[in-house]
Amino acid sequence: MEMNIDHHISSRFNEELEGIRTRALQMGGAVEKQLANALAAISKGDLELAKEVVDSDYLINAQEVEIDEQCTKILAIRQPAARDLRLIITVIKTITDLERMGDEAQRVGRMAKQLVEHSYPSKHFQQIRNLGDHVSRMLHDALDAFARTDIDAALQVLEEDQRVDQEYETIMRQLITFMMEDPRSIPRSLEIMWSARALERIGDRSCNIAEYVVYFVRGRDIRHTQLSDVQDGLD
Amino acid sequence: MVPEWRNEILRLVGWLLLAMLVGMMMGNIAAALAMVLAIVLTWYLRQLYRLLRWFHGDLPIAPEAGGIWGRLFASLVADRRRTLENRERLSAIVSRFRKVTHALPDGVVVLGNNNEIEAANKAATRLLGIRLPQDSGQNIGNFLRDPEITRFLGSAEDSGNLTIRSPLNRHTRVSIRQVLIDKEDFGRKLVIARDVTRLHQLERVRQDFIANVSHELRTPLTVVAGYVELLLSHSSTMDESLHKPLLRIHQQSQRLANIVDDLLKLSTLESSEPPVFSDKVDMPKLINACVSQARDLSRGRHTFSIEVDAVLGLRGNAHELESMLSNLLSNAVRYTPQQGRISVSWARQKDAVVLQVQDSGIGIPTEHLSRLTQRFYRVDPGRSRETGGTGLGLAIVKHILDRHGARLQINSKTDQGSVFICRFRDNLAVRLESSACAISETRKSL
Repeated sequence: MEMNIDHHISSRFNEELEGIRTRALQMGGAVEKQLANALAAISKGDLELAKEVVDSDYLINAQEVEIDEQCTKILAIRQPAARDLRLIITVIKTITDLERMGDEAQRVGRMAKQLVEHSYPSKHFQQIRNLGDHVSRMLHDALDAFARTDIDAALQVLEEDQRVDQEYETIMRQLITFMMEDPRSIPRSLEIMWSARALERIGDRSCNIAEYVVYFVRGRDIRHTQLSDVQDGLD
Repeated sequence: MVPEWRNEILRLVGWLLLAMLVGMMMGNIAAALAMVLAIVLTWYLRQLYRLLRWFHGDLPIAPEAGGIWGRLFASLVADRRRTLENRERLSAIVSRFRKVTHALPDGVVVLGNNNEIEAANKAATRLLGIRLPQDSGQNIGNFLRDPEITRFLGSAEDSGNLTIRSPLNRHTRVSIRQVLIDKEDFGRKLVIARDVTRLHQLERVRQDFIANVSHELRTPLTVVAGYVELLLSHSSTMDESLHKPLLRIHQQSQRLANIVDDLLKLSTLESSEPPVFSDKVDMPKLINACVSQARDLSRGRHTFSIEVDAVLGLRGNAHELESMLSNLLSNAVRYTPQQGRISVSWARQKDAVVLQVQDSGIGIPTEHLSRLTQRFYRVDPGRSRETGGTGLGLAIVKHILDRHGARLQINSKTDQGSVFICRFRDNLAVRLESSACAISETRKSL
């Protein structure tokens, strides 16, 4: 599904809208990078990288504030309507979710740091890595869907979330088993559990972005709706 | 004049004359003239009508007529045929060109002056995930969102290569570079993407190999050196003839240890990610520390001078910068004869921050300059080994500078000394807060 945004007489306004979309997407890119680095830090046991992830979250926060301000300015000066208004709303909501994802990635980075510092055995890291890869893909696809205003891709992200939930469930069960077998592993398992949780939250927030994409393109709010109903409704 | 025109005008004049004749005979010239003109006009309109119908494709074949109208029809038909032929030829060229670009193994994206995607080939879809036609007109930053790429594409000049992970698959490494298409064609550029996954893997294997070998060498070496030191400390009880060989073993094992250390340093430099430019390095302090080390090494044989901007710091990795400067200084000490001068300067120039190490030493013949930073490259094999270098110092310097995005320039002539100039990007410079302390230290060392 394609959408052409070039429909304004004022080309400056067009540029502003396109610019703000690109800025939001690039903030998404920064979050993707943070997440990728956090995951790499876990699987390689790279302390430096983990520190970098923990220390550079402020960059994402700064971007959120900046984009927020730009959106407010556009709302105040241009008073957009219809799809332009939806774009601004979508951007405002998306960056909030992205900022939170940045925090979650930071949390994963912090865990990586601790795991490396205490040199825990890396039995569960592979699973975390798999979950992380899955979630990264979802985030990437959600942002691509936003870039291409592609509803089908957005719906696929929503479907993917069910699989991530299952994966999360499996990791949980396993960790509980380990904790019951050996109470000494509880601190470490809790640590891993937290980061699995953080990753799962990133997956959920990717779904939010996918939902905003549907809202942006079709003007329909599909939050809190069964996926099958959504698909029927959109066809 | 074209004969058709003359005929047409003659014919019209003939008709009018005839009309006047008939009108005179009938006694009403005006009526006769009007009648004839009406007939002519109707005929003209009919030709126009046929022309228009043919033009819109309602009439399968071109209308035929005599005179000027026939001429007009014929020229239009010929023109249209030529246009069609041209269009076919052009579209053949375009499709052949498109086939060629799609057949290229490297991804090619054409960007407009705001980085909006104008065209891309199939390899670009495979490597960078850019899909045409639906992505055309969008900013490339909407798809290649990695902050590093944004920075890379943001710079206006042709700026080397950047290796990234493909957005489609994190195991695929893609090397991208941008090329300005035309200076006149303001801001339009090409982005070329090449799959370097295999190269990257090979490089990794090589680096791992060096790291492993150096590590494995170091352990037995430590044991050998330890025993030799032990024996040397008991040399008084030993046979006199063994003393010299033992001393040689000691020296050589020290040298080997230095080489292995440098190799390890190089391999960590190669394999680790470039430094994060968040640390502020107090360069004046670092320079003073390195120079005082070099003084120890020189043992009073050389005079040193320092000229630093006391409030000029640098973003980078302090440890690496120190290792770089001490390598440059120990080279200067080693290749400068007694009473020579060694000077270090650190200052901001118009578009760069520059660290300069100058000596009045033996210099380097011009033909060696370009290969100087290769590992184990020796200008004069005999002499360098005597002076105790590992042959890796400048390779390490080059690597560290690369990691800081800086450039190394070497100016030298035989017997006239050498200058090593390190140019750092201007935006890495920082103002140091604790300037008072830095200044006092500079004075002290001078």
